[in-house]
Amino acid sequence: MAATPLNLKVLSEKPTPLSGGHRMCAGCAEAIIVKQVLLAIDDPVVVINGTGCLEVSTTIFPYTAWRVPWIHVAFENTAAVAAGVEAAYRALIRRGGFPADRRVVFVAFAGDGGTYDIGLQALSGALERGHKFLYVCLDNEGYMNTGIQRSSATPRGAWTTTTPVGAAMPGKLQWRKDLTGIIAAHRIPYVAQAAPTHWKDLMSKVRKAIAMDGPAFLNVLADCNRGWRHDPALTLEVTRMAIETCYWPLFEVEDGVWRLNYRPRRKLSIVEYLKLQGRFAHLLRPEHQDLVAEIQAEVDRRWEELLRRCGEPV
Amino acid sequence: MQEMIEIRWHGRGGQGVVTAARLLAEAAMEAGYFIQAFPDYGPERSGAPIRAFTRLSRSPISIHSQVQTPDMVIVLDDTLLGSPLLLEGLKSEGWLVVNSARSPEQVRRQAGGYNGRLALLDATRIALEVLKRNLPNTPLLGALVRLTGLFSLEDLTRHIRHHLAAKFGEEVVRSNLEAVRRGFEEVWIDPGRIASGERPIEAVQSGMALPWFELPRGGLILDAGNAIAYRTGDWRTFRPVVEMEKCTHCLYCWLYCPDDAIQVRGGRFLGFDEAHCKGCGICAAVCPPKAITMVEESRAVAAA
Repeated sequence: MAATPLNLKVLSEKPTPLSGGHRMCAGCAEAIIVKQVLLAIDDPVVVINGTGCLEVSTTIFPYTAWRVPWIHVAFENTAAVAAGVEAAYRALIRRGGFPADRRVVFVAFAGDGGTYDIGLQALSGALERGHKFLYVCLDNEGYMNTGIQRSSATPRGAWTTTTPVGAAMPGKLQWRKDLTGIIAAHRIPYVAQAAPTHWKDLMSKVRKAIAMDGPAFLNVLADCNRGWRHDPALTLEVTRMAIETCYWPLFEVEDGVWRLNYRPRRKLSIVEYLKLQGRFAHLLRPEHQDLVAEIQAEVDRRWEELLRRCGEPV
Repeated sequence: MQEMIEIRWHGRGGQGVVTAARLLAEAAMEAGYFIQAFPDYGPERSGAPIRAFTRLSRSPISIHSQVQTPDMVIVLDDTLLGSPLLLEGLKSEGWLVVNSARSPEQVRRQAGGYNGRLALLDATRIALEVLKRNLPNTPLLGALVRLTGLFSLEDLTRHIRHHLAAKFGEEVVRSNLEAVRRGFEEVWIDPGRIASGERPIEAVQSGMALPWFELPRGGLILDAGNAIAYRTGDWRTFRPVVEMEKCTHCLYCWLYCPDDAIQVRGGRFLGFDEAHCKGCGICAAVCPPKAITMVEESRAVAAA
């Protein structure tokens, strides 16, 4: 069967994977990303969902917004449970309990808290064991579900409730962890970074990922208007600025080969990204000029490093 | 007073519901009561209905559950009056306290024909006049002092002064005290028309669909996507309005709507699902021909 073309008129005929009536915040990017990821997949899907906003807000008993089989697990073991479900599926086929030609796709969703921090060990293990599943990290750069605490994905200089802004500190002190790089170092078949603004890119990556004979990982920037402090209508504009400033590059690593998927025509200053968000509002004051310069230098350094890895002119 | 007073607060995320529950408890604590104050656990969702609870007691409090049979239900946002679980468990001699500019008759009708004890205060207007901000919880505290008689206005004044003086200047302290005083004086109290022992309103259905022993094993939900039965349309303060002649049916609105609230058939945009649209404004922001604009919900409703 030919895959559904990535055309909105055709895709809109498919049943949407998440129903209305879920209780994510108005303007939440996670709901948009889940829709794009699952609409890209034509085969039957099983979703494994780690603790976080997505799980809490889509399945408030006795309701569920999911139109696909869905299982909730704790922060630390999303990948372990996804691995278990996939292993059970293979065991069933071996014993003749399930037709071998009926492909099922296993997709794990978890936030940055559950991926960069709490679930990293289980994820690393599942990747190393080679389970065939797609792990999607919805990276909103903090513990938003519990009220905006810092995670290792929170960028330097960002306000959160545990990295307050004041005379003693200018928001978070540390740089964010390069998780996509860490996952790429596992040498799994497919690793990529994506964003919902570039939906065809995101959906193509999902299709590549599930075609691999092994684990695949997708890190998706998931704007959180509550935690990033901006008007919910700006969700996609903020995301677009993350890409145009090269803060969140779109790239993929396929069987160890790095490829850049999008290069802005003119790389914008990081200030264009910072100034849209209340969590960075303090950085625009004169006393934090040096910190902004440091942030710009770090964005440039990581971008140039990526260009070199991808064999692009720096 | 009875041994313990249990209060359930209803409002929307961002209105200061949790703060109000805490401030009342703290003031009561200074007046010598044992207290509890806590919100209903859940993700932060601005605009979504949220609840908080306060318990005030003459002796140590040994229960730690949510308040099931409140002596008082306090509503910070009168758009919540129609919600079926608002009055759940309210004692027959309990009070419904509402922040509203509407008439008592309108409020009673909106609350499903409620005929029990009612107290009304236009706390939003007082807050806007005195504090210049929509913080209805401060004037409501004054009204609650009057209504419960748990402690004196002087006790509350002392507490608020103490609470605010550490952080804010004298002007902020004075305007908050003024808001409290006006709440105390302007609250409108109606003891209702119920005979002793009669229920103020027909018993309401509990939120739980089944008793625990009839739930599916493991809490499974077998009806996939049944959240569609849950309405999130009342979270909205702005609603999308389309100029159909400008629409090119590109379906970007459908692609980027987080709430599956764009209706499409045969690849063509049809309209909005008002029961689920939360009014985020993304559809208007991503619409290439700018066919969608966001309009204040109250105005759109008035125009219709």
